[in-house]
Amino acid sequence: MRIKLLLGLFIVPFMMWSQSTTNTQLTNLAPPSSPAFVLMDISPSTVYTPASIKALSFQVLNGLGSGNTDGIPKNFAAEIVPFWYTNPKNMNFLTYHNLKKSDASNASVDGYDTQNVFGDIFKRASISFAYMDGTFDVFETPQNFISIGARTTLVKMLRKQDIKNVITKYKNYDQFIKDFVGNPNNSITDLQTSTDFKRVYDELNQAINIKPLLTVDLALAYSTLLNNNDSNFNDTLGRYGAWISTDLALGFANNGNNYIHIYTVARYLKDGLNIDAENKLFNTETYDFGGKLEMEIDKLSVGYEYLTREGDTDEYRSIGTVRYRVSNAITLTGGFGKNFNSGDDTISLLGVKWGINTGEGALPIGN
Amino acid sequence: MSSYQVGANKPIKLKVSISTVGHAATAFFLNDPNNDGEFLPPPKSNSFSNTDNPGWRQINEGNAVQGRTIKVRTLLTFPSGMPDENTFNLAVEQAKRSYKVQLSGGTPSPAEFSFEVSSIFSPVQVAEFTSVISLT
Repeated sequence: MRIKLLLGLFIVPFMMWSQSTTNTQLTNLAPPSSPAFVLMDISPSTVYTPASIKALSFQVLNGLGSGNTDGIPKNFAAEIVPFWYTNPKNMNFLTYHNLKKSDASNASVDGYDTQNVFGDIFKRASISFAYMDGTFDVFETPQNFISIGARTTLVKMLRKQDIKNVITKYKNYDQFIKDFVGNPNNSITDLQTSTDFKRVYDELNQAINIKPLLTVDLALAYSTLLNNNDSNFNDTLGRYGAWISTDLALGFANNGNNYIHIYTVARYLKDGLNIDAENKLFNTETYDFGGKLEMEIDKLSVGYEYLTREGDTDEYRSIGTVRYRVSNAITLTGGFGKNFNSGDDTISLLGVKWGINTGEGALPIGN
Repeated sequence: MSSYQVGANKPIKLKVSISTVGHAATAFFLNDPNNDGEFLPPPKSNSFSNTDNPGWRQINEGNAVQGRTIKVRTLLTFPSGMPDENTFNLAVEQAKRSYKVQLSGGTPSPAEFSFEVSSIFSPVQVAEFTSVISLT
């Protein structure tokens, strides 16, 4: 009942806020998960994720023959993680999570005592692609835009004690599964009701998904007018975006859920989709630099964030934030302070965020 | 069911290899000709995971196995949790491309065998790879 009341209090102001805001995605601070879509200000209702590269080729070729004048399917959005289409050799659960042996001749699981901090660069890389017709709040007639983006994790560094904990939990899990699979009377449906399986699974899941000591994420995106329907517009007009952020998560209180986060962020955006009073398009360039200090105590996070914006404007953002994670899918957010474009006014924001909480620290509340 | 010509040869050896982002554990069972062909629980050493450097393993402790049937089962689970069913399917497909069940000691040697895959995404993310081979 208390949760429903809280949700009610937060949902209404969030709806009012979200309706009055445009282009918020373009100004999100953390590297976006699908940068191609962010540059186009779209949230595609359907994002195609191919089962294979062959399937992706077929989908695109199928679009070529579907009556589209440009030879490319309209309103098409796809996202792929190239790693899934490769055939890595000798990979196992531990090597996938970047653990490696300092002594390669050690055959024991305990030999996985070190890590490859750059191991996620390819494995977690994703490429997003979109082709859309739209006015983008600028054009009178819809224009054809194409956008491509990529995102990856450059660095992921675990703590020594967390590596040891993963190995301990892994050995328990491994033994349980070996015993299970070694009984010819066990079927995979038995796992669904096994409390012992749930216990070893949860323990290993928590150990492997613990917040890393350091992560560095990078995203890049480019979009351009592909075939303009109005000769007044320059063919090469578009947007560029680059984001990089770091998260240093220092644990305290030794319970695995309490952290002090030190975030830093740098971002560059060039936006060619602006129109002046004479209906002429012009470019804007902005560079954002800044950081955030946040204390995370179980489900509650409290922080302070400062960002400076240079380029065509000279502004800053100074804001205190608070987040409360109601569940893995719902997070309540709030902010108070001075935002970009707010002049001398102090702003306050309340919101609710839906979606899967990946456990990765992200700088909240765009703008 | 596949078949493999072993004759009176011994030892017959099994090798199962898989490259996966998940956790894979394998066990193999021989049927009991004196008990309606029911598959026997194997000794503990017949279970291994893909982090245990599987290599070649002797079937029936190196004794002759002509006339018996071997069932090879690999359980693939994802203890880090796949974020959605589509990613789960991609991970299972990637594992399928690398999966190999091989026998040696018969004709030809080594020989590779087909397998079947069944999977469940929810509530437990698990896939099972199974091969049944008649040893003639």
